[in-house]
Amino acid sequence: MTTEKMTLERLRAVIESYGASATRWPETERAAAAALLAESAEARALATEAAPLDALLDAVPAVAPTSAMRAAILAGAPRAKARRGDGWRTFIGELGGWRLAGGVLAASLVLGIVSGGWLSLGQTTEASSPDLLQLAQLDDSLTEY
Amino acid sequence: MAFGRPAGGPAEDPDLDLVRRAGAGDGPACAALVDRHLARITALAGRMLGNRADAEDVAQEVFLRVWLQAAKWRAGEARFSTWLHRVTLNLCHDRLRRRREVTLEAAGDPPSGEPPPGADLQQAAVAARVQAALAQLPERQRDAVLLCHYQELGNIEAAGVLGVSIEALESLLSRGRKRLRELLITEASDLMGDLR
Repeated sequence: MTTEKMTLERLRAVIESYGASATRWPETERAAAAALLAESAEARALATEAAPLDALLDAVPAVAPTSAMRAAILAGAPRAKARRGDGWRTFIGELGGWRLAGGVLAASLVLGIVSGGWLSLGQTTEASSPDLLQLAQLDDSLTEY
Repeated sequence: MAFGRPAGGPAEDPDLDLVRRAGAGDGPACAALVDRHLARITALAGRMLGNRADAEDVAQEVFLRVWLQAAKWRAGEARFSTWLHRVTLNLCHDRLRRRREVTLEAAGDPPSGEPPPGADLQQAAVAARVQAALAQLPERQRDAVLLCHYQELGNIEAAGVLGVSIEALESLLSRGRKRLRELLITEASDLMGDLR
């Protein structure tokens, strides 16, 4: 790629507008300006003359944002609206996703059936204990009066 | 005329994805957008207004507008950062106008000599003089200098923020810098000495 040559007049205009630092010059003209600076003492004098104003401008410090300010700004940021079914999705997610949740639910079902059967068996055994039978019989005998 | 058209076209706006996600309420995208732009926006407002409190107020107001705008952001009109700088400048202009009205009513001194916070005494004195000189520039010239020198926007984007051609931007810049030199030249060597 060839770089179009820059005239001293154009370099003067660039420096008067953007200052002495090449980083602020128009991107498309930087290479041509650098080439002119390299070969012309007059061009270098233009840059040297503009540098003090740049340094003075750089003396004005930037106000930096605080973390409290950042937090306040983010507190006002938009939030996604909760969709129907999001509650279930969150619940399933907390259970470890659909596969793991399915396993957990199946295990719960089996445990429920087994423990239900066991409890009802236990109640039958309890009800047939001699003390309870006696109480029941007492009750029967009372209804006769 | 190069109005609001960034280099490479608006389709290449590096903020586009973040803005869209922020508009949909994506928390990490909102945080990333703030982290990407808050420091520059606060710095611009600070240099325009000359004090931290006003700069913070403006930065917060800018982001309130970002949150309102993000959901309906349309790609292709301007880069997000171009819009952001334009909103910041407008809010600063409003404040400066209100400040001038209050100053005229109170017939007091303009608040431009206040040393910026966080700098040591000598540097603060130099900074205050430069800030005062910047405050004396016509509005458009000051905007151009702030955008190109401090914000380091490219010429196309700076021209887009101001809504002018590249030629007009360069004219604003060169007149602004010339005026600054005139305002600071008598004391330039003293000021430079203070900086060393």
